[in-house]
Amino acid sequence: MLLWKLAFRNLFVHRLKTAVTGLIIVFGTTLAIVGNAVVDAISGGMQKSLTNSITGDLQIYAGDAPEKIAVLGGFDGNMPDIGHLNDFRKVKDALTAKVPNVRDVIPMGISQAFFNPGNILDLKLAELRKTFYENPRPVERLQTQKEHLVEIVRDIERSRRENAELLGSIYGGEELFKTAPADIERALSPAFWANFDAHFEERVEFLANRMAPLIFDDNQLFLSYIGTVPELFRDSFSQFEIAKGEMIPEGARGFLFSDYIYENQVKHRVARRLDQIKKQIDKEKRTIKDTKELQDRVAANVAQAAEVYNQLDPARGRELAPKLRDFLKSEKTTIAELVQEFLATTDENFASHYEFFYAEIAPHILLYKVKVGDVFPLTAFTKSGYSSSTNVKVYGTYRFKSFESSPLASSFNILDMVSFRTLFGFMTEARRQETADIDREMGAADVGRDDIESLFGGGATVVQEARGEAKALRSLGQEKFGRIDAVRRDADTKYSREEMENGVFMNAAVLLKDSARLDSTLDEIRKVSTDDGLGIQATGWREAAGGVGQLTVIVRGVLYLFVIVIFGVATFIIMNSMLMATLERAREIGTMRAIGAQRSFLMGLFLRETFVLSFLFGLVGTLIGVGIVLAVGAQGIPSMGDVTTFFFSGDRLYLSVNPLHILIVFGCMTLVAVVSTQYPAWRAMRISPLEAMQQSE
Amino acid sequence: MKRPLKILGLAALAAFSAPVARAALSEKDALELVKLVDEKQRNSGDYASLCFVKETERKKEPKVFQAMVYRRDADDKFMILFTKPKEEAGKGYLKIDKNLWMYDPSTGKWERKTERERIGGTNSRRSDFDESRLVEEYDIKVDGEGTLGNFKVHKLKLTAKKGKDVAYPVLGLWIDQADKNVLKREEFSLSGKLMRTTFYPKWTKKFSESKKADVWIPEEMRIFDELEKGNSTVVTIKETDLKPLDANIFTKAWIESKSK
Repeated sequence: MLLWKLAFRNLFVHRLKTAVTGLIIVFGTTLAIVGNAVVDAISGGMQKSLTNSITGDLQIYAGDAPEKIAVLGGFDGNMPDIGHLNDFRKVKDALTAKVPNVRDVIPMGISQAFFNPGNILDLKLAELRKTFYENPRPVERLQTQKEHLVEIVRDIERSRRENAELLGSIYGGEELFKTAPADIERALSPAFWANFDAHFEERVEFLANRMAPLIFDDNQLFLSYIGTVPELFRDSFSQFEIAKGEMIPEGARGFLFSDYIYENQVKHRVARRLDQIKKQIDKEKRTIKDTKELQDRVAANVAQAAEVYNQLDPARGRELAPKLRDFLKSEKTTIAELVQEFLATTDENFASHYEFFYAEIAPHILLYKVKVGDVFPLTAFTKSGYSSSTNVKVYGTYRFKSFESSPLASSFNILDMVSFRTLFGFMTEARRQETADIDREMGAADVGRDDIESLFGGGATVVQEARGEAKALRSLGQEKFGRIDAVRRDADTKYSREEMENGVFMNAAVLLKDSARLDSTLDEIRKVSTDDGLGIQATGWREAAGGVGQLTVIVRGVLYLFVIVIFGVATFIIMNSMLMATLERAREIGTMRAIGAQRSFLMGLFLRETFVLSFLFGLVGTLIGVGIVLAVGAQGIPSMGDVTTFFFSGDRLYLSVNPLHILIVFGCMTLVAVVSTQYPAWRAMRISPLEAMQQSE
Repeated sequence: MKRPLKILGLAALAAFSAPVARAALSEKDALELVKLVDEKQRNSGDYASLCFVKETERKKEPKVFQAMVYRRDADDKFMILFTKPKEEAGKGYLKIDKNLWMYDPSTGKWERKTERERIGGTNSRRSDFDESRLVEEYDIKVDGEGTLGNFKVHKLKLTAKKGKDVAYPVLGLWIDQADKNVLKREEFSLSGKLMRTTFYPKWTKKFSESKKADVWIPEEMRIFDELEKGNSTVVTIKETDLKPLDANIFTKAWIESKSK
């Protein structure tokens, strides 16, 4: 009891030091408790986001993969080469039969493709061509389409005149720009249209080659996708839901856009900007008047008004013009001017313009580059190096509930497994053989960069006389190649689940019955792979996700480092003040030693002092931390942007107290107490009673 | 009637310039030399050839395809139609004016491409198969002399003329002093970075009825990617036909018809 009294007395005597040390300890413990709660919550949120959206509890892929899997891309943002496996069915059957904790296995293949819809004139010319060859020919529709083409050419001319200087500085030297005035004049002349049908292909070609390139064109879409069995994907990931359109029917080939990508990349850019402005005004309470970003968006919409009015067919334009005039109370006459004026929105009129846009304009323009229900061509570079294309139908868009606005969870579109395999073009033995045959026919020797001069050395002759007739060439010129692969064009063929599942895949998400037993299940899967020769490797969701998955590990590491530094500082300060106190109390200690105090007695005294200090303030810090966690945690921290919804697995991050972290904090405090006591106690033991007495005299 | 005279003039230059060439070229000589290079390859009539392209990429299996190249230089029309392997057959590139279109029979759709587009996903460009128009597209400077194997060469530096849509803005040409064939071509980016080096170890000459003279055809081209070391493309021209082609060959409809 005496020791406790002494300890409290000493702390009280050195109130200021005690307060400073105490504050540091309070700060450190509060940070440790709150920080860990946040990291825990983010880690949990991310686990929920990842396991419910794409990775599953764990991922399997080829055991001999050249690189490690990173479903959301590695730290460098690139998709690693994870090879492929040949027989999904075999792997799935083995895992579901032999690993009891496996609930389901979903085949996947992650890749990228592109699609270029062309500009508005390209699109309208393709439509015209299609209409022209319809039987019987729909004369009226053809006429409307031609009128629309004329309007587009007129706009090209208008834009050329208005921006002559700018265009001249960019394209001045180009052939096309030089011939443009004469070409436009021809395209707008009555003679060009009078006998259009009689010279249909030539006229269409003229418009496609001379007019269309005059329109700035950046419509190309790059699409990342997961090839999978769509219905299996839907049933396995609980957060999955269809946002627009419908689910790909069972067994059908098809494409589902991620709703986020659909809204942010596929949508008409003017509409997209209107949506963004609306979101910033409504959700973020910004105003156009005070926000540069919003002003830029409005300006960009005005500048690109042509992308709206060019898409309106002339009949619709004539109908819309008086409505717009009325709505804007404008004197302007042409649809081009009216749309420009309409898009110059302000805080006062934005809401009504937004409503008008979607009610009156949007239904008559290409609101999306690819519409739900369209069949569109996807092109990808295959595993064997050639480009490969296939037509797929867009059935709809999907999203993951509660983090639908997160770009991370929404970075993939979904493609059926059959189309995926077509686009991915796995190297088969037959293809390899065909390559070898063509190579033989080609007959060019393999010469490396370093030996290339040998082709010009020795008795090398560079010049030869032509040999024989071009027989092969002529016969090939007559040949037809047939429809290469009817399946690629035909988007309606149905496939059985077996056909979808049988065959090549790159990786697969494995869902577990009990997610807590991840590590032991990974071991079991590895064992089954070895026993059954499946040739797979398995990795948990965190590693499988790639760079993003490791983010919480890094954040937690940084947090711990921070807390360790704070506690280190606290240790140092405590030790220092104890040392000072020891020297100040040399006489007292000397006296204690003189009357028989042992080392353990002094150690006990110091320990109690530091323990009271660290424990008391540690407790205060912990209580504050827990208080913050409980107060903020119940409300939830609101997500700060679209990206954070993924880490929060929703709009808010809810914190909870983890008793383990409180225990760890107290463990740390004890450690601080013990460590900081050692040196002062050792110094105290070296104080000789005699010296201490003399010092006081 | 100017053309035969011009050809005669160039032929004379070819015949008599050899002794002069040993001394350094003047800028004017260089221009004449490149004119000759263009002229030798030019065929005033139609042109068809059967090509093979082999693409070797590091850590990847090589890919090879066979294609037919059709040209009507008078109209600036150009077409490549792939014939092998099976999965490529029927795909085609069609160049009309300054537009390069690509057709894929597996989707039945056309797409407009740019001059910088890689043909069939290889490191070859449309210009590798097209008529040589160096004088029209580039400004020419002398860059000294050198040797390539046993061949003495003139080295020239070519810079793209303003507004010309070429695959590479700067070229280095190594031209055989004796035969006036291009033996090596270096292609640089605008910043001066070497992008590709092409070697021409085989030239074939064939008499053209329409030109009334020989046309020189690069029977073999070996293209080395200087950015991705280890990647290379070999193009060989197996057969050439200089007889007139059907008028409707250079149309979208003709390419489409090959896969119907």
